[in-house]
Formats: sequence, C-alpha cells, structure tokens
Amino acid sequence: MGQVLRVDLTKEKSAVEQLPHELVLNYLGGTGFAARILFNELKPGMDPLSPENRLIFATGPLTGTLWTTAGRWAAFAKSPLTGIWGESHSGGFFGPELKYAGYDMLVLHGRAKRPVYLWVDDGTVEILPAKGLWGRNTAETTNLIREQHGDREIEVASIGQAGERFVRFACIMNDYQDTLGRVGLGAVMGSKNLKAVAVRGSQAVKVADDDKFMELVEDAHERVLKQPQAQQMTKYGTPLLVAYKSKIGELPTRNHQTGVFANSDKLDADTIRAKYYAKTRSCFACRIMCKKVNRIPEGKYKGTISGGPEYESIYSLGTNCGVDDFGAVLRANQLCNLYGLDSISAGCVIAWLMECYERGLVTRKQCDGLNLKWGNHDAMMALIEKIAMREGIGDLLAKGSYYAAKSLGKGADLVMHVKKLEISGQDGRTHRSVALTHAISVRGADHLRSLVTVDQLGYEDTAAKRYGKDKLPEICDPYTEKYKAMVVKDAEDTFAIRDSLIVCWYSCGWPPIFWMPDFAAVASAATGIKEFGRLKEMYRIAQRICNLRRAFNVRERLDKRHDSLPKRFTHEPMPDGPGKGQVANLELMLREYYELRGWNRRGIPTKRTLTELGLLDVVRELKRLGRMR
Amino acid sequence: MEVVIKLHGDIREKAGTDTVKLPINENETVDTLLIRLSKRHPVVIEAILDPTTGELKPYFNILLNGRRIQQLRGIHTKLKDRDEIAIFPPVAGGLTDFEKR
Amino acid sequence: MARIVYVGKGCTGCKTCSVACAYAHDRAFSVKAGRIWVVKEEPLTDVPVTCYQCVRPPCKDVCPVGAIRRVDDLVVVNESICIGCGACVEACPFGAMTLHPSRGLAIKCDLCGGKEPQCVKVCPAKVLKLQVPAVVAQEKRARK
Repeated sequence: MGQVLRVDLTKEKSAVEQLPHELVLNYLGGTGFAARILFNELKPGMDPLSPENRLIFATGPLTGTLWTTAGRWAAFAKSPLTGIWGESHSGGFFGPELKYAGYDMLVLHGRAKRPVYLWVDDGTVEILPAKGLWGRNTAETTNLIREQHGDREIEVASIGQAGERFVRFACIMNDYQDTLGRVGLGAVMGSKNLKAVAVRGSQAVKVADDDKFMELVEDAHERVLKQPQAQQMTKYGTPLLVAYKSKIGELPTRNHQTGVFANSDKLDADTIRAKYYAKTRSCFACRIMCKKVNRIPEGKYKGTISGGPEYESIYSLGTNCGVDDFGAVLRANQLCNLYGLDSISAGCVIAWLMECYERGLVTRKQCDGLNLKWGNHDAMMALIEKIAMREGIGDLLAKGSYYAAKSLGKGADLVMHVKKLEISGQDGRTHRSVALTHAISVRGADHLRSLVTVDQLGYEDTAAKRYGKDKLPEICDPYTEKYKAMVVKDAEDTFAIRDSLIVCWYSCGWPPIFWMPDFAAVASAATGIKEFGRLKEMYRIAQRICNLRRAFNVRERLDKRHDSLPKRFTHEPMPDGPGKGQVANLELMLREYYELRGWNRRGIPTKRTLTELGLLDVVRELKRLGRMR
Repeated sequence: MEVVIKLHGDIREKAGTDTVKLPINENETVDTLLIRLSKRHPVVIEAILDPTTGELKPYFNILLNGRRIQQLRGIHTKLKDRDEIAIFPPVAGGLTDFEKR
Repeated sequence: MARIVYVGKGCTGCKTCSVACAYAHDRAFSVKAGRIWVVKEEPLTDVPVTCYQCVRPPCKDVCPVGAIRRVDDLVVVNESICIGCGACVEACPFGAMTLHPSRGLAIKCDLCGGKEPQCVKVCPAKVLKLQVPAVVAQEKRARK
C-alpha cells in the first residue's frame, strides 16, 4: 500500500510511515483513516488552535486513478469553528499529486516558530520560510510558490489572509477555485504558522487488479455519459439547482426566513449560461466537467472573471442576503476564494447581521457605518474584506455567527446553525429529509454527509426500485417525516464509503450513478482486498466510520441536545410558496434515526453497537469519561 | 381562463421561449393541457413525452404551483385559472454541447 | 501524416488524456509519465499539447546517438539507444518531448502503436482527434 508523511512543525521534522494494513482493512481511506487517527491522537477538550491539533490531508484508494469523479481529496481536524469533528472535501488536482508524490496521507501537528510552507517533492520534504508569502492571497501564494520553484505545475494548497488571522471559518484553497471550504480548517493551518503545502509527485499509482479495474473504469465513464443529471451538470454546473428549488419554495432567502426569492431568475442557470458563461472546467480526470468560469460583461462588476459560483455561493452570497445581482455574487465568491473564506459561512454570518440590522438589534454605527439592509451588496463586499482582515465589525463576525451573537449579547435566536456550523442552502420545512440531515450530520449543519434529494426531485420509479414500492408516495413527499430517517441513514453509510474512497457527491446523487455495490467492486479491484467486494463488509466499515466520528463528538460532550434545528425550521411556518405553513418535525425522525443507528435515546452509540463494529476501545474511552454507563 | 407554462433548460432552448400562456377549459387536466401544448409547441412535447407510451420521459418533472404532479394526481391533476406549470428536464436532450460537432 | 489534433476550444483541463496515456504505456496512473499534457493558465486557458510528428523533427536532428527516427510518418524514439540526455526535450519547439519520470529516457506520443489512441478515446469533452492536418484544413475551408 502507501505511505503516511508525518510532519512535526514544532521540531521541523518529518517522518515517513508505512500505511498500516489494519487501518486500510478496517477504514478504507479518507474519512475512515481520519476518524481513527483523530480519535486516537486528540484529547477531548483540546483547543483546536493549539499545536496539539492534527491537520490531516487525506486521499483514498481511488485517488489519482482513472475512475471518474475520483479527482478529490479531503482534510480533517478538530474544528475551531465548532469544537467538534471537522471535515472538508475539495476537487481540483492536489489530491492526485499527493499520491503521485508517494503519500496516501499527510499528518501535520505542532506549530512552526515562524511562518512557513511545506514543500513535498517525492521523497524530499522541506519546511521553508514563507517569506513574501505570508499576507498574500491564495492565488498570489500559488503563483509565487510555482515561480520560486520554477515549476508551473506544482500543486499548492494554501490559506489566505483569513486563515492567517484565525478567522473561524477560514478555508484552504487549491487550484484557484477549489476549496476545502467548511469548518475553518484554514484557521487550523494558520494557527500552525503554515501558509501552504506545495506538492510535486513524479511517481505513479498502481492498482491491484488492472483488468477488472479498467473494466469498471470504462463502465463508470459510460454511466456518467448516460446519467441524466450528469449531463445537466456538464452544461450548467451546480447552479442548475436554483430554478427548481425556487419553484418548490426551497431557495433559502434572507437568513432562511423563507424559501422563495423574488428575482431568482436573475441568478439561475439559464440566465448565467446565456449572459455570463465563459468556460467549462473539470476536476482531475472527471467526466462530469461541472466547473464553470464566468465573466461579468457590464455594470458595477464589469471585468470580473472567476471560477464559480457554485449553487451554495449563489444561496449564501445571493438569495440569503437578499442580493439578486449576479456580478456581486461572482465578485463576492471571488473574494472568498482569494482571502480564503468559506463562502457558505461568510454569507450566512453576513445574513445574520443583516437580519439583526433590519430588526434594529444593531445600529449602523455598530456596523462601521454600513447600511446592512437586505440586498446591499456593497455592504456585503465590504464585510467580506473586514472579516478576512478582522477589521472593525469583521472581527466580531470572524468568530462565526454563534459566537458573534454571544459576544454581541443579541440575535442568538436568529443564528441559523447546528452545532455552531452555519446552515447550508437547504430548508427542512420544504425538504423534510434535509431537516434530519442538518440536525445529525457529524460536522454540524452539513448537507454533504447525508443529503438526499429523493423527496425533492422525486423520480418515483427509481425510489421504488431502491427502497421498495411500499414506501411510495411518502418517501418522495417533502412534507412528511415518514421514511426519511431510513433514507438519510442509508445515504450517510454510503457517503462514508464515498468519502473514504474519495469520490464526488455527484457520483451518487439522485438518481445515483453509483451506489454501495459499485463502490464495493471498485474498492476491491483497486486494493486487491477481497473483503471490500462484499457488500456486508462495506456496510460494516461504513457504520464503523459513522460511529467512530460520532464517538469523537460524544467525547466532546455532544448528545441529543445538539442534534437540533433552529426554531425557524421547527416553529416558524414557511411563510411563502407551495410549502407555506410547513414546519419540520424533527423529533419523529430523530428517534427513528437513533434506532436505525443503534444509539440510545440520548443519541449515544450503545455498547452493543460499538462492540459489534470492533470498537471496544471506544467503549472503554466513553465509559472512562462518563459518557456511557 | 388561462395558465402559464414555464420552460427550463434545454426545453427552453428548443421552444425558443421560457414562457407559454395557454387558455384552458373548466375541466382541464395536465394531460389535456399537454395536448394543447403539442399543437403550439410540438418540439416541447417531443422533448418531454415518450412517443410510444405517451408518458413523461424518465426523470422529467412537471410542477404545478411548485408541487410535483406525482404528489398530486399525476397527469390527471386538475388545473385552474392562473396556475403555473413548470417543466424541468434532467435529460439534456441526449447530446451535450461537446458532442454536437 | 496523422497526429493527435486538438479540435476547437472545449478542453476543460481535466488531464484524463495524460493519465490514460501513461496507463496505456506503463500500466500505472500518472500525469507526468503521459505523452500528452494540458497547459493551464488562469483564468481561461486549457490546451492539450502533444507531438506534431514533424517531417523535419528538431528532436531527431539534435539527438547525439541517433535514437530518433521517422518511420512511416511517425517520429519514433528507440529507448534502447536513448541515453536520456534531454537534448531532444530542449529542441522540441512545442515541449512535446519529455523524459520518463522514473526511467529517465525520452518518451513521446507514439499514436498508441497504431491502435485506437487512448487520449482520443477517453477525452470527456471529445476535443482530441487522430487526424491528418490536410484534412483539418479541408474541414476549415468547407466551414468558411
């Protein structure tokens, strides 16, 4: 198998370890590896910005190969925004390069005495001074490192000014428009005085069963060609969600007050493609080719050319702030990329402050003289810069909306978060399964670890085939809780494997191009590990990963109380649209979900469940800490 | 009495418009409306209905005032004055731009 | 005189061509061991580059040991003669010659030995073609 590069930034030393076979067998890769390492090596209650935090850059068995949608990688740490499990995935080309350099994983800990960047060139590992880099944005950093080493193809993962200042939702960027966006991993890097990781790899990735693997590769390519949603994605990218969600009343607007945005057509895929489209791009070896570069031809933001925005940015920097100017959304997204900020959290934090302002909870003076009425994109732009540089009110917002409200002493009930992570672009009132997803996801209000759209898009035939005819019509109904726990749990398991192989969310959307049987087959062919080919074993690994991640959080004192939703979703009926009057009944779904997971009523994994999955050490640990009787 | 039909994606491109307004009768349903639509914009109907079965092609969605018709009465769902029907394609008409060469 | 031709402007920079090429020759996945590469520039440039199979190849001219010949309209490197000096890499005006990242010897596009070129087969954007430049010119004239 592969190697793990361990870097101690305090001692400025590195060491290469063999990837333990046990780790691969029991955890597969990516999020699986990280779950085990972070549970083992981090102490509960540790400050995420302390040198003790681990920052793991991980790949999976498919990274760097030709299997499609596998051009991704991920990073893990204890999150400085939430204080719990932190995980974020990115596209681009960094992951394969790390593999080509000979490493399945990079584990960083400690803190350098002065700003540095890590240079990994196959077997050469150097910690170099970040002179001339510190203080630069992520694009400049990438360009400068490539210049310094005289190689324009070096892959660089870097933080911008936001990460340097420990903005709690600072991100890590690679390849100019790809991002490890959420949960503030950029701040973790900043706290280690680490400006960037630059990688160059000249080696090759081999798989165990070439013939079988390439057969699956060809099949995978064919399937993407034929899959209807993939074809739409190639043409429009993720913005294709805007029009549909607008119609069904699930386009979060003005701090999630409602799901209907008046001028959504100014921000939808048809408009974007007609007016602003410049180019299509792709992640490493991916057949879907969903990335877009857009250009603003006129108006205030004329001349802006940037990759993106993805749907989530159109929501967070657009509809959720009441902004309907596409130029503003593109420019704001670009600023987030350059400064290294999570565009979702940044937009949400701004939306929260806007609502506070509109309700008179904060004065204009408190907001540095900015007029924070809904839709004021000048103000939004100014706030993004202030947040990144931690200036003025930006310093308050940089804590994240949960702590900003606490510091302010106002607006706590207007913070749209779960476990202190700002909520992504879905609304559980008009898309019931996502209410559960947001509430239980391991890193907080995350949509990616278990988002299902069967109750958003429908496709009754596919639903019947996958879940059984008897589940219709409720399973496709966005306004009922029935069967949603089952779907979410099943997705969470499948996605745990997806996030260990490391493959894109769009590989298993709806209708899914691939599902567990496909992942089992390709994992087995890639690694030569026969057990991976057995579905039962794959599900076991998936549940092991989900339980271990949950245990990490339980160890940080999380339980049912934190598997909650803002009152806006559970008590404020949807005010507009086809879903008018709807609220999310979380309790029903939560109980069912816990049962399906084998957790007790407080949301704690039971001794039986953990033992069955071979997690006896977790039982001991949770008992020792009094989290389990 | 009339309804508004909103077209999205490739269907919009094919029809050359994003909105079609059609007059309707007392007892109009989705399927009788589609018949009307086929007379005005045959290209749209070709794009969304399977010619052999007369059914909606797989993965297409027709929304009535934001609700999928499968959640209502399917193609027998009754229509009323000023209803909005939105037609969404998941299939990009078979060929992506790259293959149209 | 056929070669791999980049048709149009639709390259998305995915590098599937590089990886498929490397795999076809080495049974291992890599970008640097491929014989076709994508040049990427921000914000809007992705262009695949590979050997033009020149009639008067500069690489052949500079090779000190005669490892490069032109055989049936194809410029070929004889690895058993090649000494890995890299003169050909510097001489190629397109940057289409490289030294294999681990073997160190010169490698270049060999049109997959007469079989279906893998890069053409796998390109998701379908922007690569095995074509004779004269035919490309003909098509352009027809379009005009």
